[in-house]
Amino acid sequence: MNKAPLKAFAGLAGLAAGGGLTMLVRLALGMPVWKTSPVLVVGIAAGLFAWLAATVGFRKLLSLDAARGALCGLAGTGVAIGITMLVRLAIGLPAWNASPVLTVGIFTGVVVYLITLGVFNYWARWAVGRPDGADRPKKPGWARYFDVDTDHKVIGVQYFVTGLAFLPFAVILQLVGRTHMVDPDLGILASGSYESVIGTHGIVMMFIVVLPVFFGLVNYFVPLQIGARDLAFPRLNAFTFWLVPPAGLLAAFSLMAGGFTTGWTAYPPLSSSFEVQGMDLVLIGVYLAGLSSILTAVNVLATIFKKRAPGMGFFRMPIFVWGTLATTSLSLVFTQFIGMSFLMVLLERTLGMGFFVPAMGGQVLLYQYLFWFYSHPAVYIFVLIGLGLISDIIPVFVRKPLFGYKGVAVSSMGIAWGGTIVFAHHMFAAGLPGWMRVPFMITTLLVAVPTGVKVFAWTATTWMGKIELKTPLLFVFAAVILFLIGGLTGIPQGIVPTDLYLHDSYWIVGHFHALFFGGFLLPAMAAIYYWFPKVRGRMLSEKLGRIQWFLMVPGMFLMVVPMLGLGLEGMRRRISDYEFILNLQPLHIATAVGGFLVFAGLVVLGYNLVVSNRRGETAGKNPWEASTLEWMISSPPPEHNFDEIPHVHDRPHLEQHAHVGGEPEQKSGEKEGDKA
Amino acid sequence: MGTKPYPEKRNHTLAMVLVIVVLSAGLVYLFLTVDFIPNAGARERVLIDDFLRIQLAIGSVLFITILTVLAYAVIFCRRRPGDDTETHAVRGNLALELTWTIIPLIIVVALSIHAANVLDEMGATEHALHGQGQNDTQTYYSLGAFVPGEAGSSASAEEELVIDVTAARYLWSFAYPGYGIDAVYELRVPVGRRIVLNLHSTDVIHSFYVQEWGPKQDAVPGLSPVLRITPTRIGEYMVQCSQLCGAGHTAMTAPVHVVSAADFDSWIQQQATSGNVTPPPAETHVVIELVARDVAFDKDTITVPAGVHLMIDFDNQDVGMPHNFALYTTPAATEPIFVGQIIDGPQRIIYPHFAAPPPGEYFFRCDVHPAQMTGTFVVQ
Amino acid sequence: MTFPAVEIESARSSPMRLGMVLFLISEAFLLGALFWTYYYLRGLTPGWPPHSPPATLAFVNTAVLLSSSATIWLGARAIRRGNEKGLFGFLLATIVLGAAFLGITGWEWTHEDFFPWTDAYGSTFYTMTGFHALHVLGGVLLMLALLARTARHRFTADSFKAVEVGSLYWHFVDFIWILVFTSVFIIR
Repeated sequence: MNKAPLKAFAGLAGLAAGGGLTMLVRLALGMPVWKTSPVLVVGIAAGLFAWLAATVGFRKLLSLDAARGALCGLAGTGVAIGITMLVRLAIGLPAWNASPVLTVGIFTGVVVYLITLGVFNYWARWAVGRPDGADRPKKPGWARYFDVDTDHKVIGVQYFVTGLAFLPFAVILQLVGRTHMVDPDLGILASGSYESVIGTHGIVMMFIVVLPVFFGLVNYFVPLQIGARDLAFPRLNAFTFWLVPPAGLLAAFSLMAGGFTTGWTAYPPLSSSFEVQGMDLVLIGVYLAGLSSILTAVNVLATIFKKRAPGMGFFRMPIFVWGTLATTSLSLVFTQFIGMSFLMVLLERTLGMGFFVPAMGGQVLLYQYLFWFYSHPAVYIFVLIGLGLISDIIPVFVRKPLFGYKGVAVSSMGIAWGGTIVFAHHMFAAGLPGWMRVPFMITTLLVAVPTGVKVFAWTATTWMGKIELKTPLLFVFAAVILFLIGGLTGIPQGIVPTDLYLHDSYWIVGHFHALFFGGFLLPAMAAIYYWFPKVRGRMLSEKLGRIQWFLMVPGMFLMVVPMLGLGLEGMRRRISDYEFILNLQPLHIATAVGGFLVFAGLVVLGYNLVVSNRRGETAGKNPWEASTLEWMISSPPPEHNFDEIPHVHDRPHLEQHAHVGGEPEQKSGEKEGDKA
Repeated sequence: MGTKPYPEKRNHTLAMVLVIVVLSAGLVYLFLTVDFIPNAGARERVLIDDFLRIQLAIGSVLFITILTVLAYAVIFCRRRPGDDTETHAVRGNLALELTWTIIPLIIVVALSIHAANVLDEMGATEHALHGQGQNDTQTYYSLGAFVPGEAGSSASAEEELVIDVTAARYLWSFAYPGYGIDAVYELRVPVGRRIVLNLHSTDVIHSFYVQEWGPKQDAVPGLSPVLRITPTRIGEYMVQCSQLCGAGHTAMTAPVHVVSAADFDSWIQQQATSGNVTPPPAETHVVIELVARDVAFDKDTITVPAGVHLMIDFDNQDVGMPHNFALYTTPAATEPIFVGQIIDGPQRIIYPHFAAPPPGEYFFRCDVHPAQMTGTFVVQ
Repeated sequence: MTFPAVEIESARSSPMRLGMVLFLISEAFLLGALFWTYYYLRGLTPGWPPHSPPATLAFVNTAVLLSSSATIWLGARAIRRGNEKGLFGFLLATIVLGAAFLGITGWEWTHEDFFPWTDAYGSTFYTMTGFHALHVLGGVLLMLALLARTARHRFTADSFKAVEVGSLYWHFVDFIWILVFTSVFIIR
């Protein structure tokens, strides 16, 4: 039977029903019936769901944990909002007040979603002493990834794909912003909308792309690289992933709720004011993402401490694992501070609390201290894993072990923990007590030392190697250069007098984009080309990889360098118009072109992933002839990872790193020019 | 295990070092001589610019070094086809690793010391904390080179001109307490004299920033941070709010006039005679107060001079009721000239400035209550 | 699931305790943020504290919580000796004391003369005591789960890791209360 007409009809019916329902609700609430974004978004979502149900089968669709959870979560949100409004009426308040009603509704909805999703089932059964059900039969194929699953490899893919799915959304947001800035008089974005667009871009990129992409890699590969069969707490792991999709949807939907004109930093008093209508969704979304990253940190740290293969001392772990150790040690403790500072803003909005209100005895700057106490270590959370990837990938493709391995390993922790006492450098112009600025300047500059250790080590490793310019290495070299630019442009910001000029200018924007490109995006691209063969058993196309590189990397330079120039010219950041300052349009045009090139590169990547998944050259166990443990098992790995846990003898990047079974053949030996 | 690398080290090392030296020298020369940060107009800016050059020069040497070594390796150290062996494993070199840890440490310490001195010379800011409703202030001075005491100053206290700056969405206003001037909307200062800006905000965080002057300082509700500047060039500049403060942040600017001492004195005289209430005719920013109460405006006609920038100080006193101010060419309200943000009462906002339309008669209204709240807007 | 001979994993100790310790370190930072807030506002805001919540009930609550730490400690000791009934009894006692703490806290809240929206002190007071109470609630739920498992004979003298880990959590919450109590009701 030809299902196409049925599917199309279902889709259209869903669209009409969703859109119509939204309009009815708006009418009932006394709002203007038509507003493009809510009506369209609900309509399209309903249409998609109906089309999926027609394609896959309604029952089968609902058998997916994710679908069940999402539907019940949405229903729960609606019901909770309704009840809250009734309660408000009963106690004499006006029924609708966006902040408290939405907040109660969303929190309830998220709890309902989690329960109906089934993430608590394992623990509920454990509590009443029944078998926990983690070994129930798994659905075949892609359906498994929409279920609650405890296998770290499945969870790794879930995190990674979620992050990659939100990446185009965040990039397109910024492309709209950049296009607007090419000629603000065209009015592509109204003032107020531009700030919302860039703020959402920032939040989604940091919390819904960077963290899930990196934690996806960590989930999949840390257990493999240390010779474990899974993370320490697989059931907890299943739970922490499913916090991320609602976090992402909330952050994305904040635009629909009115946006937020505070930038991602959400400073009060502005963020507490009702003018900023979409703020609540962002605060809750980030809170959920933060909770996920704290629990991931608990899990990953316990795994690294307790589940390493025999012989794998700390100084025999790959630097990817060291980077993860450093990242999760920060993530474990500091994330609580953004959780608390965002929660305090939410409490000010919903309950009228006054932490940051001078008239109520509060202090405005308190927020900034709490916020930056997390958000500075956060930037190291965002890049340390990428730096670890660079340290591990270079040796494979220059056929030479990492130079100064111990120094690089220790520098990961040095950067991470050195970076905990620098946070007030974001506040040099904020009204700090004068005596605070010089000490924080000193600590900020000191972090350059362990960072330099890494860059020098990479260079020394490459020097006199036997280089094979495969795609992973191409991306890694671009990462090193961009990261270096990012780091060096940080020096004028760490130094107080120059920061007082550069603060809140485009120099800052150029600086951190260089660091995100060099510390996250490019290493993530390298990791994709490096590890796709292991995950899917197929090689990605080298030719497409090079095309992607030649689009993305020049695009990144075209974005970063003009931004640095705009900053030197004194252009403020987060403004939607620059008619006051002349001769800046060429730089904005360059930045926009660069952005489009990066996006084009991502499109090529998407095509490469889809095509190679089906028709890529088969990859064996170890196509790159690397030495770390994940290359000792089949591609894709079996469910239990290792038939036999390997013994580890020496550092990674050496042939004698580890072997499986029998007597060890050689000692971790002396070689020419060898120093421990 | 593993074979030796291909190229002979010593031949190429010299060439590489030469390339590094030449390129670095070129970049360093560029950074130290070219005026790539335009329009320095204050003493503090010059200090910042000079130091920035040094930092970028140092950074560029490091950048060129890494880039050259990597480029060299990528060009000359490729694996020959068919060679499947490893390179001989150099695990590390303690001397080299110590060197590249200690030298950056030294550079960083040197930069910090110099930076502390520059900061001291700028006498950048002093942070005064005001308790709730009390006058006791605790004042902190920037430490400079770790020596507590007064920030370095090139002018005595008598010569300093104190100006109170108040930021409120989206208006900058300036008061000269020493001269009894309460509120003007343009900043006028004499060249060469040190000005002390006491920054206040009545609502959210704003930030005072003049590109030609250099440093920024946030205006924080509940605090009174101070910014000291010595302008050195006569001219017309602009204060730009530099901390995201809402939808009108981009347009939250104010004109700055740096004039000769004589011109400044005569302006002061003018202010005294005109009673400090309205700005003299030379001013280009005009504030209009408008109140919305009981679903009605308090004025049904607003008259403004032509050729000015208008700021509407809009006070919505209707509790729980949304209102706004919107200006159209005709009562048909098809062609908007300015549409202000709709705000729920009780709230007061100062809309970002917009240019007054050409002389004539226009129409304003509240977009939420277009039938009840209307008026005539006359530009003379 | 069975695997070939070289199965090293089973020899390693369970990571449960480490997991709880890591989680508690994280929670310590959460409370650190609240203490930072309290002391920062206290240092900068004149006339602090603007309200004086009565200390008597807080003293009672402290006694209640300290007793509950004792009961859970006794419960862990009981099961170490194989005394399942003892564990059940002490768990029950802990739950009752925990619930009592929550009840007293709720009573206190409804009888204060200030609210979270009165001023910054109120906001901080209710947020600190509120977060602590939430953690006690979490602990009570955890104890209930342990109680259910005890009723199904899941704990023996050789295997009661969850009880150990649960009691670690409970002691932590108790310790945090001492800090909150001292800051809010004694140092003020």
